[in-house]
Parts: sequence; structure tokens; C-alpha cells
Amino acid sequence: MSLLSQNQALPLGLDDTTLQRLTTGLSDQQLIWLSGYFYGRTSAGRSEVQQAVQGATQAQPAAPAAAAKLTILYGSQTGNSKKVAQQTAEKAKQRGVQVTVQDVNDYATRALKTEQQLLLVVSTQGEGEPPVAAEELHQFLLSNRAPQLPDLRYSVLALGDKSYVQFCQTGREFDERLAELGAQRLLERVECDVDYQEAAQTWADRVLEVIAAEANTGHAGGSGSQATAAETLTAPAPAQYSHHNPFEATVLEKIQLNGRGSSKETYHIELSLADSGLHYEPGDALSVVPRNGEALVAEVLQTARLDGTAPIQLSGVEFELGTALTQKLELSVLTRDVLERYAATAPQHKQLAEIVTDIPQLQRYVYGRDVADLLREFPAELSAEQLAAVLRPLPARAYSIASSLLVHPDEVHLTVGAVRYAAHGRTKHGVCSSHLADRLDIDHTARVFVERNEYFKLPQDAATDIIMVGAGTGVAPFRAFVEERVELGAEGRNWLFFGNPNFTTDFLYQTEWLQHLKRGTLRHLDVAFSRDQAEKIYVQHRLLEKSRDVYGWLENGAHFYVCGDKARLGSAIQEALKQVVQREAGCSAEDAADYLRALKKQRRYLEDVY
Amino acid sequence: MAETIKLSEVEHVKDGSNYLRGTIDDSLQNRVTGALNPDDTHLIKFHGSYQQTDRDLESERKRQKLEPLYSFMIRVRVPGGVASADQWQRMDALSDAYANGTLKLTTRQTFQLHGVLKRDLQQTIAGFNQVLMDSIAGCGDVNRNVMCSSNPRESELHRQVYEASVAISNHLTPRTTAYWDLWLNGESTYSSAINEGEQEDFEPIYGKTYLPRKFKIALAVPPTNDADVFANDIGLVAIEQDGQLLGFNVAIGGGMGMTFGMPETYPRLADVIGFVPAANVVDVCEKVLTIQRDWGNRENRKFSRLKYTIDRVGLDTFVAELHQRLGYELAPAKPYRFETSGDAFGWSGGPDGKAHVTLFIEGGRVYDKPGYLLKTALREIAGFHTGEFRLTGNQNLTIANVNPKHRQQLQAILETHGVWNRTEKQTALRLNSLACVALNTCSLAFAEAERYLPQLLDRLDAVIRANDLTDDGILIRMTGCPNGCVRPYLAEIGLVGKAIGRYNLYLGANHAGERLNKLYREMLDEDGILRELTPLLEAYAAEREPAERFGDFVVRRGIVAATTHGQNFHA
Repeated sequence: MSLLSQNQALPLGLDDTTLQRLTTGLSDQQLIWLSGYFYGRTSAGRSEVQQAVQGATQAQPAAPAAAAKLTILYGSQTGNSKKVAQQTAEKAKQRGVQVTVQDVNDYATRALKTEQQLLLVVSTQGEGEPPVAAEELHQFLLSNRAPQLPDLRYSVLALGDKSYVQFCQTGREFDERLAELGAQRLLERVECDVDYQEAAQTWADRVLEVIAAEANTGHAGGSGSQATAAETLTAPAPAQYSHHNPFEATVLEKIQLNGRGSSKETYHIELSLADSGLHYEPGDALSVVPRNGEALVAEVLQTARLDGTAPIQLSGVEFELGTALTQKLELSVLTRDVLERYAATAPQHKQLAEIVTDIPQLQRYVYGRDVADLLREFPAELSAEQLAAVLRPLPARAYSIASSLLVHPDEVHLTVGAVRYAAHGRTKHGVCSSHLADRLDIDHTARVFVERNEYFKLPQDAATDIIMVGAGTGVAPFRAFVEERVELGAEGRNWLFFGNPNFTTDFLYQTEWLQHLKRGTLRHLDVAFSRDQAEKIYVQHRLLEKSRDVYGWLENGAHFYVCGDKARLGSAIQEALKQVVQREAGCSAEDAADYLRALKKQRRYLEDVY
Repeated sequence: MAETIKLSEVEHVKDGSNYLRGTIDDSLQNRVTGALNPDDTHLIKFHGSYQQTDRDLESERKRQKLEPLYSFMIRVRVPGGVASADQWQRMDALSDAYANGTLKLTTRQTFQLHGVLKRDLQQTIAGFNQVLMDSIAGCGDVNRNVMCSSNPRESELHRQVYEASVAISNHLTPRTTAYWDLWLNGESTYSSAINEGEQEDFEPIYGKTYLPRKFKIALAVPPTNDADVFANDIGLVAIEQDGQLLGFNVAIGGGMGMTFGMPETYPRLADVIGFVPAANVVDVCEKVLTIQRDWGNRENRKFSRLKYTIDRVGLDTFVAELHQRLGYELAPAKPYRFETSGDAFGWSGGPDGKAHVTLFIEGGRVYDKPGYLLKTALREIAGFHTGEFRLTGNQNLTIANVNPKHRQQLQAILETHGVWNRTEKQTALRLNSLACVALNTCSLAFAEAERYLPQLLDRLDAVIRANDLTDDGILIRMTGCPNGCVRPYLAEIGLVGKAIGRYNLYLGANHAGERLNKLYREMLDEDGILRELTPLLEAYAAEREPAERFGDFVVRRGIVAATTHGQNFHA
């Protein structure tokens, strides 16, 4: 018999005869197992093999489940968790594991009881909150309604950002709670910093090893290879450019958007993507790989009493300390992990040891301090190698893209707020914003790569209305949204709420919005300038003023987008929206909260807050 | 008339405005722009305000994707230029709260605030109202602020002339309630304008389309023509007998504005057409104004002023119509003599024992800078002064009717704030200088004026001093465009901006505001101005006749021909 359907082309060098010879005497089950085996052995030419295997499994009726089925859930905000989950599912499939990969947002919580093997890839937002997609499962699991799960074996991959104190908090909570409910870990939780790729791959390989080993020892019965992914398993094309291999984008234009006398300093930066092949959609982010400023590097070297030319090693590569401090290591913010390592390296500082173990103290300490402050306040005789080992890798900073590729082919525009403040005796600069604001001029190059934001996207249906709430630089993606919708001739209406301190100086992209308003490509524009009057007025107040229309739009299916500072905007807008619903629908606070929850669930309430 | 008249755009806006309301209310509610709806920019003028932009920032903000920095100039009417100490303090406070921190004293004896943002307009105007001032008819196609000689020395006569100016002002103030509705929530605590008991707006004098163009009236008491009466649509020359006001010689058809490249536009001085007793002066003003309302050109605003109406129909025809509408004829004009249109500075005493001090306010700008705390000094003085603050027609300020026991304190404040020296130690040339606002806020300006004239005067002062002309008052006036806000065509040295850094030089007006000047050189830069004026000033110093003024000297020497009428200004 032929394993391939008639119209399936054979790869070069294989013919029916050879196939018959190779497979004679093998059962269906053995054949299927082998197909996975060979697939897994192949690392090059993966996609062709994948096609072949898919062809094979399609041609074959599903084998009775012998091994435990594997479910991979991801709770993603920007799409990183999704990417890892899909890659892991891919690997599992190659190993012949029956795998389902699913967005936790779409996951029925009651199904948890029936799961046998569960991998959870989840990120943490802001100060330790789950991504919107995972909110419901998170709430369910942590509540007393959560069932006991003695039959479940699981592992958690937690994504996070070490610059936040509550690093990987959500992953941690899921992991610990599942254990409390009686589930058993396939593998210890792995926590990943912003540079997650390598650690995530290692976790995936190891957890799949465990699953394979258990299958062989008959820990869980059954085997199978049919991929029953709830969504397509085609992995996104691997990004050509990344943190380690950024694209050098030439600065085409750089404009200070704030008028004279402003309290803000915001830059509109246009970068060339010519010849990069880079593609993005409105809602995506552009990550910029920054460099630390000379002054800060000098300050650190001086405080540490180290020579910038001292050789050190980072991941086996040799650098001069000064170069590493400029390009590779984070200096401008202090994070918990750095403090812990430093405290361990300098145990004589009892006070520091105390700070590290006390979260509230730690939070107070890291606020407004940088590495130079730490070195000055807790001096220690560190070698260049020791210093490098204490510090964390310099992460890229992601900025919401402010342009549409349709309107600006081969370009990407950013709206960057320069972060500057005085703290602990020195003026501090946000590493990336000051890199862009102070050290990058027209014709210089910025090192960039695109980060997909899976969910913060325009509605699929161009006829859907959108309400956009942006404060400060949070208006950036909405410039892209409106540009894109105009270019596509989308018939859905666009409504922008914008806020910033002062009207005359801080109305970012004012003339563009006024043009859109005039042409009708922006139906409404409501602005709040907090410092133009005695009482502070913010975008949420404008939302409430327009509650009837806002609710009308939502009832009409509008998507609602929020972008800006998380602390100032996130909960305030949700509260305002609940009040809007309560007032206009004449319902209770609980019903309004449900309304908002439903919007989130339907992915019609979308946040890009930072 | 049989042929169809194609009215100008502004006429349509006025007609459809429901007595100057337009959509101003919507404009004020609109938060996404600092500007008004386009039609409302015409109407806001009738409320005393111009929408302007900061032209210094124009290209910078365009690049920043910000709209122009819109702000508003608000002109507060002060009939006869007389303000109380309370009113002065209020203007001072409002300039800090909502404007750019300075006050401009204008050549029509008004206060101007600059840089008021749209969102602060209502509070600012409400602030005037609380001290019984208003800005209605500060600008627009209506009778503007009525000027009056501010010389307080002839106390009783001046009082009577001032009262006439207030009576004229009140009579010709628009009656629309739009001003109260828009700026004062419909509540008028003070009103010179409202129709008592009327249910609906109507304008008994103006009608709903008001005048074809602005209309100006000034009153002067000879021998001082500090109100430059002949530059006005109606100029009234006070005639006295034994210190009592008899009435006025009436002059009509004056106006300064012209347009470069349009010789059919020209400045023109008012023609004296007769004498009216004081009791009828309001009536005469109303009838002249209503003839202009009916006969003035409403198709092309460049020819809408009374001066063109008169030259079109002929002075005799106009006067005949006036006599008909009055129902009586004006008496023949009575003799009078003007000596100067400038101000007399320093202390002077009135016959009643009160003292007055006139201060030189360069460019009319009241502000503070290190070593020169004019604004602070005047604020402190307003705290105790029991007399008035009189704005002169030459952008200067008289602190009038100073209580004798305050004089020493007042003088001390002027000295310690660096104000006194500014009046005392100037050349008479600078003391007789005027400059309009021009850049950066006036949309009409081609060149600098107020910001630049002081520097030019630094260089001219050197020439003046070298030629021993320090005490010779020469009228020098600079504008940023040919529209003539500081009456440059009545200057002995007139500098009218034509491009950035370039000025046309006009010479030969007489010192009392009774003869226009004439173009002498075009498009001069600073060196060119110095190069042209230096030899003339040297010659004037060396060759003038006793008491001969510079304007008369250049005419006598044939450096320019005398302009005898507006219609030969360009000749």
C-alpha cells in the first residue's frame, strides 16, 4: 500500500518501491511513531518534512489514544507567549505527542478537570497582574471554586520583565496554585526575562523530554501523533531581526513635538526600513536596542573605580568593560535580581541584605536609583568581571508604532517621550528615550526589530467603529490606526480621546487630527488637557461627558482601545467605562463590570499600556 | 440702485450673525483648536478682539504638527482715555492672569491685552466688566473708542470736552445683547449699551449690518492736537470762550490706512466743514455716521472708509446731505490754532492745586524688566492714587489729579523703579516716537515696529546728540504695514514697514497733525535709514529758521513736496 495519497508528490530520492521496502512488516502504529521519530531527528529542511508528515497523518485515520494528550495554553499580551506556545506545540508534534494549543482566553475553565498534561505559557503585566486573556482562568483557579486536580501533570513557563519588582508574578501564582490543587509538576517553573527565547526553548525541550520519558515508561497510557491544534500550527516565520540581530534603521526625521514652554519632551522619529524586509501592522511595536549614555557609563566606572578597558566576558564573548557597560548591560534602572546578586557579592552591607529581602523596602530603594547610585551607596571592591556578572543584560525597549506602512512604505514612525528626572543627586535619563532623544540624529542609525502585538489590532471588519483612548505618547498607535483605516477606505467610524498636560504645547499630532476631523476620517475628537485649568481634567472625564455616544458606539459593536501609562490610565478608563455603562444602560455596578468583562473577552476592549 | 451689488464676504457674515453672535459660542466650546470658526473671526472684532497667531513660532509649530499658536488681542474701550485706579489695577492683574503679562497703551487711548487664549476670553472680558469697562466695539465696523485730549491742565474745559466724548461714545455704542450673552452669561452689571426693556435685539443707529468699515471720532482742545483729530472720520476741535466750552469745529473724512501698490488708496486728513454748538455735537456725529452707513462702499473693504465716500460723492454733496438730515446747517468754522500733536512730559499743575505727571511709555508697552519696573511701579501707585490714569493718544500715560500729599511718594516710586529716568533722560525725538505692535502678533505686519524702533532710535539718538537736537521734538512713527495704526503719515519722520527689515521713509508732515507727509525713499534697511536721515538732520540743525519744525524744514527746502490733500499724497 502507498502511505501517500495519489496526488502527494514524493520527495526527491524516494519512490514507492523504496518506501515499501522500508516499511514492510510495520504496524500502523509503529509507522506513525516512526514518522514522528524521523521528523524529530531532522532539524534542517523542517518545513518540507512537516508537510510530508502532515500529509502522512492526514492520509491516516486517527490512532487510538495511547499516550496522555498534551494541552498547551498561552496567556499572551503582546504575542510572545503565543509564539513560545506554538513553537513548543511544534516540537511536541515532532515528537509524536498528541497536542492541543489554545489561547487561554478561549479556554473553558471547566475543561481543566479533564486535562492530563498541561503546559502553561503566561506573561505578567505591570505590577504583577495577568494578561487580559488569562484573567478569567487566573481568577477561577485562585478562587475557592477551583477543583482539585490530582491527575494533572503540568509545567509553567513564566514570561516577565525583571525591571518590575513583581517579576513573573502571574506564572508564579499559576504554578503554586496548581500545586496546591494537587497537580504535579512535570518540570519546575522556568522564569524568563525580556530576552526569553533561549530559556523558553530549553524549557520546551526539557519538558517534552520528560513527557517522552514518561510515555516510554508507561507512566501515562497511549500514544498518538495527530496534531489536533485548535488553531493552525504553522509557526510564524522566524523574525529575521531580533534583539541579537537588530536591523540598523536610518533616522529620516526627528521632530520635537512639544511646543515651547512645555513640561514634556516628546519626539516624533521616522526610521527607514528600506531593504530590511521588515513588516508591521498598526498596533505592533518596534523594539529599539539602546546604548547607555557616556556620562552614566563614566559615572559607573568612576564609582566602581574600574578601568573601561578592562577585559570581561559575557556569555563567553570577550568585551572591554566600557563597551559592555555601553552596549550590553543595564545601568539606568535597578532591578531585584541585580540587587540580589550585588548583595551576595558584597555581603558586608547588612542594610542592603535587608533591603533585598523586604519587598516594600526594595521597591522604595530601586525607585529613581541606578547602578551608579548602588555602587556609591554600598561601595564594594568589585573586579570588572564581578561587576559584569552582577548586572543584567540591557533589554530592548518597545515603542508602539505610530505609522501605517500603507501610508509610509519602508518607514516606521515612533512617538518617544524623553524620560528625565532628578533623583538622588543626579539627573536621570531613560536609557532608550534619551538614546533616541539626545544621541540619535538624522542619518544616524537605530538598532531595531519588530515586535508583534497579537491582540492590539484593528477590527477584522472594516465597518466596525473604533473608540481610541490615548494619553501622552499613548496616542502613537492610534495615528497608525487612523492612517491605516483611511488608506483602506474603512467605513467604520473613528473616535479619538486624547489627553496631555497643556493644549498649546502638548497636543501631539494636532494638525493631523484636525485634518482627519475636517475630512471626516475622524468622526469625533475629544481632548483633555489636565493642567489648563484649576481642576485636573483627564480623558476619563471626557468619556463620562460623552457617555451616551460612547455607549451607543459600544452597543453598535465598536472596539475600544486604550494606550498609555498603565498607572494613570489603565484602571481609570475601566472605571469610567463601567460608569458609562451603568449610567446609559441603567444597570448595576456588577452588571457594568460584567459588560466590561464581556468586552474584554470578545477582544473588543484592548489595552496597550506600559 | 438698479445694478446688483456684490457685497463683500464680511457683509454676509454680519447679516447672518444675529447681531454679532454668529457661532462664537460654538467656537468657544471647541476644545481641539485655539482658533474660532472662520466667520467668527470677523465677528469677534465687534466684541473688541482680534484672533492672532504668534508669527515668530509659525514655521516651528508647523513642523511640530501643532496648529499656529492662536491667541487673542483684546482692546478695552476707555472713552477719552480716562481710567480709575481700580480699573488700572484690574487691567494689570488681568494681563498677568490671562495675557502675556504686559499692557499696551494704544494710540487711541485704549488698553490692549495680547496673548489671551481662547479658553480665557470669557474670564478676561468678565474681569473688565467687574470694574465697569468693556471691549464692545473695541474693533469692528462700528464707532471705535472715542478719543479726547488728555491734557488735564485746563481743568474745567477739559472736563466738558471729556463729557462730550463720553456722551458721543455712549450714544454710538452698539446695542446688541450678544456681548452680554457671550461673555457675561447674559448678566450685565454695567452697561452703556443695553436697550433697557427691549425684548429683542435691534440696532437703532447701525442696523443689523452695522457700518461698512471702522469709524473713528476724536476730540481735541487747542493748542494741543494730541488726539490727532484730522486722522479721524470725525475730528472735533473744541472752541472755548472764557474757559467754557462753546462747541466744536467739525472735520470729516480723515483716515490713515492705505494699501501698497494701490494708489487709489491713500491717507487723508479730515476737512473742516463748520461749527456745531456743544449741545448738538452728538447729533452731528450720529448723522455723519448714518450717512456713511447708507452711502459707504460695502463691496470692497479697501474703499469703505468715510474718506473714500466723501471723495466719491464730493464734500459739498456730503455736507448738503448732512444738513438735510440734521434739519439745520452748521455754522462757519471758528478760528483755532494747534501747535503740537505731541505730549508734554513731567509734572504740571492744574488751576485747582492738583498736580499731574506725564510719563513716556516707549511703544506704549507697560512691562517690567530688570532696572525698569514700570508695571510694578504703576501697580503700587494705583494702590494709593486718588486721581485718574489718563492714556494719551501718543501711547503715553498721565497720572492725573495727584493729591498733593501723595506727590512725594509717587515721585519716589517712579525713581526707585527706574521709571523716572525713562521720561527725564530721553531725547525729544524718542519722547515723540510711536510704534505699533506689528510682529510677532499682528497678522498684517510686513516688518517689525514696536520691538525694533527702540534700537533704531539708539542710533538716531547719536545723530541727534551730535547735532545738538536733543530738545527738538520731531515726530517719528513706525508701523509694520501701511494701515497706519500709529498715524505714520502724520509723522515728521514716518517709517512704514514693507518687508522684514525694510521701510519706506516718509517726510514732511507738520508737527501739529495738520499736513500729511510724503514718500521720500523706499525699502530702506537700517543703514539706509541712517544714511538718508543723517544729512537731513545735520542740515536741519544748521540751517533751520527760528522755531522751525523738522517737517516744515524739509518742505521749505524742497526735500519733499507738501501734501495738501490725501488725493495728492502719492503725487
